[in-house]
Amino acid sequence: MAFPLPFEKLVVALGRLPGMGPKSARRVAFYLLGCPVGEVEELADLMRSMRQELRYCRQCFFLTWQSDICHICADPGRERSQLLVVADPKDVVTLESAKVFKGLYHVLGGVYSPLQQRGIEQLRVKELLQRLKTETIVELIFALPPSVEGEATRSLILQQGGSTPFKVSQLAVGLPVGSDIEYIDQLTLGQAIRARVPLL
Amino acid sequence: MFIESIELNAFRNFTQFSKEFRDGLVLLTGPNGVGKTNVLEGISFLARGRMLQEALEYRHVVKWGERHSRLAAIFTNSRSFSTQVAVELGLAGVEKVLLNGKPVGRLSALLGKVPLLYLGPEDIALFSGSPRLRRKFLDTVLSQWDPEYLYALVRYQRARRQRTLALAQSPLTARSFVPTLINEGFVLTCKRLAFVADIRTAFDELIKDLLMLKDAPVLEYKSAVQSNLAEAGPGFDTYAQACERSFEQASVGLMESGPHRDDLRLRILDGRSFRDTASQGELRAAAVALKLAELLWVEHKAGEKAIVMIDEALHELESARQFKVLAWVARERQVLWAGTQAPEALQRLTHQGQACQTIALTHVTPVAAS
Repeated sequence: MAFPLPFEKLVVALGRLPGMGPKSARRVAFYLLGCPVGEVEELADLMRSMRQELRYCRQCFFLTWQSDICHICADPGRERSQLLVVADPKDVVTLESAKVFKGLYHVLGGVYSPLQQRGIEQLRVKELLQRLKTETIVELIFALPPSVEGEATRSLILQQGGSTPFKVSQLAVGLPVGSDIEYIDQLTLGQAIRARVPLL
Repeated sequence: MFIESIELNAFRNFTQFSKEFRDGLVLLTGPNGVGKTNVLEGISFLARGRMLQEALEYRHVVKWGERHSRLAAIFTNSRSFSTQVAVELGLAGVEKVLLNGKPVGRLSALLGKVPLLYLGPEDIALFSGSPRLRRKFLDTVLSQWDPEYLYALVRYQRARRQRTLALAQSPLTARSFVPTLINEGFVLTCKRLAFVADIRTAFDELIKDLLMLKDAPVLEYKSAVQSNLAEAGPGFDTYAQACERSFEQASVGLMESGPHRDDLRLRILDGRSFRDTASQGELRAAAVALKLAELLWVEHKAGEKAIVMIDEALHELESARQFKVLAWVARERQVLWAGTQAPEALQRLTHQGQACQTIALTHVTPVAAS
């Protein structure tokens, strides 16, 4: 059965959101239909203002508001000699939640993937190479996805960056903290054994 | 290990099919198109998470006109311990995988659980057919029992697809996939070399026995990257250097060396290829010997006797060889033979006292309109 046009158009628009299938989109549309009008208007306003007011940091390309520079880059307490490269802004949020890394970030905006028609020119690689030249970097840390595309992106950056007068590292792979060996898959166990850390 | 029962709902041509199997010889018989191979497809899917026809799309697996399939089987090992496997499929893919009633997420959870050997029409052409068949043979068996191999294979194939597309845009950026191709190519090559070394003695004995030869042809893994790879495992640096050279030499758009170009070969004592000197019958027998060597390797890995499924594979062997093969595999194993009729070899075995369960499949007669 066809729904009235405004409803159908909203379902199609919601269905374009990541992780949202047609059934979920219909469920959300029905929820919005049942909400007080004020609540829907508030949601629409929030989405509009988020889109209009948020922008990417001029330096690291994380999200910023009311300023060209994000709160991390603007923080004088951050260690400026360490630069951590991530694919997406959401990776910065995740890494920040660990409260361990005190350096600066650089958000590439994705990884190189010809299959998904994402070329290297669409990523902020040029901007990263420029930062490596102008800033006093002691260590460059890669936190890109451990996929074929993440590795290719890292390889491209190192290739285009030429000789590196700083330390280059990447996040470790292995056992999750507090996990029971019994429940770890064979592949992760194999990697953890190979990347074991000497104690004495 | 043997399959105790199977239940197929809305799967391929079946609306509902359920059957209990006995350990030992099982003959699945019936006219063409009745669904004998589909029963084997169901067993393969439940035992190792993959269809016999790998390219089969899920919308063709689910019975035409239905939206979901459900498959379930009970496998029992030599210690009489039973494992219940169930898979629910939709038109777009796998919806649920259950092991003993508990959801386990993905199909890969079924890998390495049930030792199974499938001997189908494609296998008989292993040595007479193209190298692609032999690479597929290696990939299939190793992916089933070695998660690291499967992981490396998936990554290698992905990197190759990415690189091929990247080459059309810029050879320089395409180079960024080379480290992954070298690293994963090295893993695949080492594991394939080790597998060949593992099965060589068994293959040697089996082929000598099947062809009644004094000197058996030697089974070799030929790497396109480096012709003289040490079976103990090539050194990574040597392999990487040879790969780099091949990438440099290859023109844009050409395939470089790597596991996707490697091959399994049979060499006779004077150095010539067995394929150039053997008859078609001998090549078919060599293919069967290779599959039987695989069977022993799989059983060694699983610590269990395997279930053997034979479908249109041995018909082209001469009857004495057919009997020899069937008698050999049927020793302490469950063997499911699919065919329009009982083969002579199977009849001989039953005459010698071996029990055989016959399952006759028939076409479902459409209900006449009243």
